[in-house]
Amino acid sequence: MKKTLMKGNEAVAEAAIRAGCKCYFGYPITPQNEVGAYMSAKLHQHGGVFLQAESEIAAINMVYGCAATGTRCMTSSSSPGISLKTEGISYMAGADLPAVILSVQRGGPGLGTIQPSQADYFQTTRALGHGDLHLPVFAPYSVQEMVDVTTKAFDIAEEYRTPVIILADGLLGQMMEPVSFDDEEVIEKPEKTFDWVADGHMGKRKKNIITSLQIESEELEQTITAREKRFEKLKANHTQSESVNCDDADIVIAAYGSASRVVQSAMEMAREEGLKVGTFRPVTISPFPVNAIVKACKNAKKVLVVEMSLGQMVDDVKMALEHKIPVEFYGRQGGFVPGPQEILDVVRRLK
Amino acid sequence: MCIERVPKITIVTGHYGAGKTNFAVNLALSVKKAGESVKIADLDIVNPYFRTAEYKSLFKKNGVDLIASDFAAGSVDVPAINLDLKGAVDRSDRVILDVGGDPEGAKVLGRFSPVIKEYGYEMIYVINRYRYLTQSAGQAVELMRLIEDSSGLKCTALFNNSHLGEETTAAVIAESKPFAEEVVRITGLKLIELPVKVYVKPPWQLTNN
Repeated sequence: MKKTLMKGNEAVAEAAIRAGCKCYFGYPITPQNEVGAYMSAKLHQHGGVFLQAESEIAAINMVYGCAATGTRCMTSSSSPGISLKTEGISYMAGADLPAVILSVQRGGPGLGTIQPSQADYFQTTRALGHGDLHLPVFAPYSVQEMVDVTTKAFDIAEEYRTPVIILADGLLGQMMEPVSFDDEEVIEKPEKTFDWVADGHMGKRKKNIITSLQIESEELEQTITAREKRFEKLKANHTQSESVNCDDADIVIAAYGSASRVVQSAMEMAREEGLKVGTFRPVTISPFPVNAIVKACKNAKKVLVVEMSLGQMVDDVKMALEHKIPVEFYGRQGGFVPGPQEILDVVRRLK
Repeated sequence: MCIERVPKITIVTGHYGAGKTNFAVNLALSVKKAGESVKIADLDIVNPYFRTAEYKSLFKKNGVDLIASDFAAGSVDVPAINLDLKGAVDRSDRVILDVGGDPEGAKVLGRFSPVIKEYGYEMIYVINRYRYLTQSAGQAVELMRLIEDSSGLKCTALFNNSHLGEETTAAVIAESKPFAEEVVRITGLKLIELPVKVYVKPPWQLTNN
């Protein structure tokens, strides 16, 4: 398969076009501007529409409206911009609308820095909008995986009628790696039709109303539990993770996204020294791969979680392992990516 | 005042990800090794990561002066270029300008074009046949023309830096030869040869020493 050197941001945009995404709405913010730039240059060539909205809030509400017609659509932003979109995301979840949202994390809180960070794990997995909701979140670790999860995200969004989040960070968005796509060219697929869409009934079918407003408690509870049932099914079918060298590992290092790349290098260095170290990497951070991490850590004496934050995923790891194994944390903040040597030093101290 | 035979200003341009910055770093180190004093200026106003300015310690160790914008410090959205190019050229044998890799990025050169034209320049266009948007010779030349138009300057040489990142092999490089020759044929520009070491790497490939 032909390989192309692409930035993570460009690769997501290309993968979305190939997945049949017809509309992109967004507002610029570093470090994810290549997504919008790519869409503005290419989407129209495939019968789609790129629109730079007047704000992040406008963009997410355009996604809401577009998704309500059953058209594949997406938006992307970075930390401060994602904060602005959370209201719209909650409304979309409440209206069961499918769409893909790419979040390319930078350092925060506030405007913070344009350098990469993993400080939005809590925001993305716990509170991407108010209300009782669970949203699927993919956390890719390479440019190729950004392509793979983008393709998947559009299918899952429609199958489960939910917004799907791709959580990357500035490093993944900006770095360049060789990628390949399933087909040489973009293959136009027929647009799917759904019975729930609001795209004009022309007097031929009953009208559909897309809303998140459900005043009656009975009705709202029913909707929420039915939605959660779909999420349980999604959990059974799409929870994804990867463990390497865990079978004999005394220490398992858990990390996602960019941090897991550094952890991988640190693990290889540790193995060279004869230290029995394995790695665990969730690809979906919501649903969190609970069973898989329990299995990966079955012989571990200690677990180390590495994140580019004060420590957020570490809570999910502790909950999954039910505090049966000591869980340590190492993190860098403010836009710093830890180096492999730095992590190896931590591993040596754990021994 | 003596007449310089080699232009004092070298501009390195090319598509993002072609390997512009890595080439600029290599060029600066090789010029220094040849005994000339050299300054390298990071004029990239578009790309926030993987920039010349990240090689501060490497340059310091090798005696290359780095001129970086505030943007390059890595924490603001809006770039600011604060460069006294005339002064820099007067005070060193060679000045290398690492410029943003698209027509928008190249606009920054417009501001410096009186000085650049006064002192004479060479503008090296870095090409990579594996990079999206420049995978055919035609595309690579088209982007080169756009960069020329927005900078008001003309490319004077080419550097074939075709690579596939971590997956680069001798065969990957060898396969790019017909592409590079085609770009040479269309543009009539000479191909520069310089052995390059990979300095621009993601954090997980960097060892602390």
